[in-house]
Amino acid sequence: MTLVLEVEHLTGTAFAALGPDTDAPDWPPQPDRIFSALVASWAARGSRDDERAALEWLERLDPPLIEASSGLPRRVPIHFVPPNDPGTGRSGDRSVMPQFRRRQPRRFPAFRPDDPTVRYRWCDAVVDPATLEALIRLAADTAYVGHSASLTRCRFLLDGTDSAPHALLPARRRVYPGRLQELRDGFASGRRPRPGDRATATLPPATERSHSVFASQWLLLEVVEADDSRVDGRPSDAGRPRVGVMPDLRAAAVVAKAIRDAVISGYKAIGLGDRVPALVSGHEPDRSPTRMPHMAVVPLAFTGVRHADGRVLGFAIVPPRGSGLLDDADFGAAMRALVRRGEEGSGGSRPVMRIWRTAKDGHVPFEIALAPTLQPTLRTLDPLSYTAPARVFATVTPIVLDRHLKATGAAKHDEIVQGIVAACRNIGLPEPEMIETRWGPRPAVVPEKHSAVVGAPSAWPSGGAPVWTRWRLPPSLASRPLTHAVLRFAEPIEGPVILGAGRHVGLGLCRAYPDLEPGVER
Amino acid sequence: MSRTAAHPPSAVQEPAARSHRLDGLEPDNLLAFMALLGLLRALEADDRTAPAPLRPRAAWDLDAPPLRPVLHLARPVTQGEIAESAARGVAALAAAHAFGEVRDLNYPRSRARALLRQAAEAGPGGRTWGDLLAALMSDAAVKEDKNPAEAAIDPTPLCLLFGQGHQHFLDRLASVPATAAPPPRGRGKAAVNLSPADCLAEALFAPWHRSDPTFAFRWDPAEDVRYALLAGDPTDAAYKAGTQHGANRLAAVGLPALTLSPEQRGERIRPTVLGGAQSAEGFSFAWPIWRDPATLAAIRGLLGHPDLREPGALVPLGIDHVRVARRISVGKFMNFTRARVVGEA
Repeated sequence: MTLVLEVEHLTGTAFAALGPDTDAPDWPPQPDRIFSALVASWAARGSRDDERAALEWLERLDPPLIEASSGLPRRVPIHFVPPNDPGTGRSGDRSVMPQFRRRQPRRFPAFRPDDPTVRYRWCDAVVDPATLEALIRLAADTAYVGHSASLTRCRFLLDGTDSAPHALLPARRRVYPGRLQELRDGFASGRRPRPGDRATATLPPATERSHSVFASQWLLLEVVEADDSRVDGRPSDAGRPRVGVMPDLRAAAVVAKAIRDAVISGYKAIGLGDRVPALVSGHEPDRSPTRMPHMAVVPLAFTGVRHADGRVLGFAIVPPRGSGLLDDADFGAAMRALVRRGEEGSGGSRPVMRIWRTAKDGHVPFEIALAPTLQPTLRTLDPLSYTAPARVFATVTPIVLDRHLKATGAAKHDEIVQGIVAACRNIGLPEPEMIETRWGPRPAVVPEKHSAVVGAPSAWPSGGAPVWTRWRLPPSLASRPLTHAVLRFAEPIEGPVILGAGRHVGLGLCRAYPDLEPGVER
Repeated sequence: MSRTAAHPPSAVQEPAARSHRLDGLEPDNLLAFMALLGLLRALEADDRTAPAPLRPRAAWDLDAPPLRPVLHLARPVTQGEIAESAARGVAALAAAHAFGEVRDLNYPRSRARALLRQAAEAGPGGRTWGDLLAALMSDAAVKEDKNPAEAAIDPTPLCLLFGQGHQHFLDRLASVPATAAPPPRGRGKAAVNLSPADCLAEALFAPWHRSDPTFAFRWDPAEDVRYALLAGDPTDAAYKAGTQHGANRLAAVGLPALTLSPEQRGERIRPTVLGGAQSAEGFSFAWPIWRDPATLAAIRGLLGHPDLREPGALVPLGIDHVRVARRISVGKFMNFTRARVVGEA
């Protein structure tokens, strides 16, 4: 059996700092912090002997594995706080009143996890009923972990299953025999305790998961401006267009192609125009299409949550897995050739790259400014929505089928499904699992006009809708059929999943979707 | 060993052994690491006149948490004997810590050059003085001045005291090792007098209490007492943190192990020390956590390794990991942070 301590952050935010000299939050909360919280509960409950024995038993265990979701650190502004209890020695001194106290700068690092519940797993821990009972009592009275604003619900339980909805992480810090006494001594002498010891625990051997040919490390391009100042559809002056509105998600493929072209122009700017690698351009030196996996550019839109409206908040350059493209010196130089320091109102001092398209008649359909980054500031830009292991995936942008459809009626549906299954094979994924249907075994693929992801536009507009509400595709894909889909695999696979003929320009991009199979925990 | 303490440390009760765990020296505390260097240096100094040398080496006990260093010796001795040997060594080394009327580390270049030349020409007898000067300054690294010959030297980055708050570095570097023990603890009949060896034994073999009203060098991260992080006024005597005098004594004589050298950064010549590095975030000091017993010379070699801060690069040399403490400014004062593991958050 596995001894599990479940800690739910009731406000959805964990306030805990790595140290007084850093703004970085301590996520997930490490076992030494949890142990300190349990010790505080023990003291508050009257320092009972049976509970002390339980804590001393707990401190002798090896560090637990931590099951925690990812999330985003909260911005850490400086707060000016009044120090506690100033004693001036003068009567009638109003400076002791809270309103008139001096203020001192302080920061409160915080983390907003995707899932507020963290579980600490001591695998194969043999706990006797009395000790477990004492631990349960201590956990029940642990109202906060870390800062007192980190309100928690804690409970110990025994878990016989190995299922873990989130990744298991090794502990970075640990407690050790004698830690309880050390904390007591520190408290008695009024000293701040030092952190726990460094843990060197290792994860159990991980199961090798299936994955696509695309890497999970992305270079993010964050939209830094949405300025409506451009109204005439033309650049303000030659070679230096003003930045305009980010096009709709349905035009993402056109923008993605412009970004790819810009990267290629970066190579030209550094004198490598004739040596653009095929994994960037998608073409061999003789200009024939390469058969090797190459770079994709995908849109990152506000989708998948309540109130999502499908706005594009950024793009990502997705290199082929194992290509090392993002670490390549030439690629870095090409990107640096594209970016320049932002001006007032266009990303501040952040380096930005400007992307625009000029039509033959001089018309400029769009102009946008993007800031390359590896650290997303918005949850929409977090690649984890697309790269986290999952069994079920749903398209955000529709799949461009590799072939034109020939069948009609019910056979057309099967042809689309087979096309999607082939698209999975094309990017190195296993085929979706087979399920029993009334027509016999079929792949677990549901093609549909509408996306299962909230906020994503449908694959084609309603009848009678204007032509310009369709998805805009590059000319080479313009006549291909589009479809949204939901796919389920037999085992969790590692993202990203980008399917179909438009995968290199961001079409067929899927995000992990809740597994709704009965009996499977969400 | 003369003992007058009412609450003697547990040192003398320990049996004689060739290995002793140093429970007082935390792995993420710069003061503790410098105290470890000072301990090795002091024991080596005492070995020069001892009939049966201890030949000290140190390693980190990676198998028994919490992580602490272990002192390895050539023959079995008690903790009390170690402390006495260290006390004799500190006293011998402290004799070189004499700076006359100079209180801050701001010698003019010409004076610094003369002192360094004088130490170099003194031969083996002036080695201790030379080591100390070489860890404090170089006449090649000076501050910007219209008259370069008289420009003030750029001191070791480990010098955090420049007179602010009446804290003077050379003043303390001379007085701390020369102060054999802190003032008596308590009053009247209950007063406890510590011998020099007791004072060192406390710092080495027991968790630090930091209750001595003596001077320190701001190398202990616990000295970073920011108002907003405390329950009360840090200048109030009730909340004012004390020091661990034995640790500061050892660290003061450990400093000369961290030789300073000039390096070119941009257009200027700046000082750096073994284990030190300057980056956009400021100065930081790194030290390794090694598995096998190493002498002071070997440790200095590891501190000077060019790949010291590359995660995992020194594993073939028996380095488990490397810790880095950053120098930070808190108002007009400076401190060192608790050290973090290189390559981890």
